[in-house]
Amino acid sequence: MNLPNRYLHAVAKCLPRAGREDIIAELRVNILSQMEDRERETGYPLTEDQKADILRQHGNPTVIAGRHSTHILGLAFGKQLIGPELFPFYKTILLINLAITVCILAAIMPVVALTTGSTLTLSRVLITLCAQFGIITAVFMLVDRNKEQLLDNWDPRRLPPIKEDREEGPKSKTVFTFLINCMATL
Amino acid sequence: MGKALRQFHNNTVQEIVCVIQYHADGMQLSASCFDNLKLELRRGCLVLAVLAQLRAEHYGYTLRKELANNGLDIEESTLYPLLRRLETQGLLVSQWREEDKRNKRFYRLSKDGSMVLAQLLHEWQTMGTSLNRILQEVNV
Repeated sequence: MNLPNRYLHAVAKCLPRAGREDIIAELRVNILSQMEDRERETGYPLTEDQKADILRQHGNPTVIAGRHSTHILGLAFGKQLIGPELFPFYKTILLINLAITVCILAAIMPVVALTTGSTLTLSRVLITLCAQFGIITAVFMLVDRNKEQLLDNWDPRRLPPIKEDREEGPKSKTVFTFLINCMATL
Repeated sequence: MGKALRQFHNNTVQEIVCVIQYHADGMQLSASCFDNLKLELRRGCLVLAVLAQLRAEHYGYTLRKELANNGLDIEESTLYPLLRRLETQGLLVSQWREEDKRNKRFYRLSKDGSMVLAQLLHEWQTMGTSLNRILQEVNV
């Protein structure tokens, strides 16, 4: 499987739908031009290892997608806690998690009321949501603090192959797949 | 535009003051602290360099090559998003065009970009002059 395509596919998976095609088209041209330029210099076609080196130089797909997704957003209380590379993923995962929690709470509230006779108070709901917020934020802070080791230590040759049936793109992509892809690139 | 200039000015002055204090006090700053300061110092300079280089039209890869040939290495992961940000801010204009049988996105400085570049260069020269004067005073 073509290494640059797998790389671009990995970046595309983490990009927001708006502007995705444009960003990928531009990135593709830049990567291919660089590879052709290197081939002209050496006089030989690039090996997979040389292609992987160029892609590694371009950066982790998650970081690239993060830098294209947002330019200035981050989470900071004084010192910046979550940088712009990870902030789009932090925001997405936080929203998904909180939405799931709210749905679960809404579903179990009647059951708890019927079986135990007690009701979930607003304060307990808020505590649950705050705990979710705290845990996710803490995890992302840790990842952000160690992002050099976590994000730089990756190998383009280990990127997953492109599955033809997923080529139609993010419309068919589930939230679960999105999270798994992002975690895989991390 | 004014906000960007003020931010650029404030950031750069802060870095210069930090670097001077570092040398003056002989403080042993950690490597990561120095890296952060260097990164912030470079950030403003990179914008200036990219705007200056894009007085002539380039697409991403050739722009990176030109900057590298002039001694300014900039990572792809920094440059390509930066180009889009500068275009969003109206400082650059871009156009998809075919070259060597491949569609490429060419960037060049916009009219607003030219004005901002002139102002930034003026700031850069003023700060350089001030810094040199400060350094001479310290040396005396």
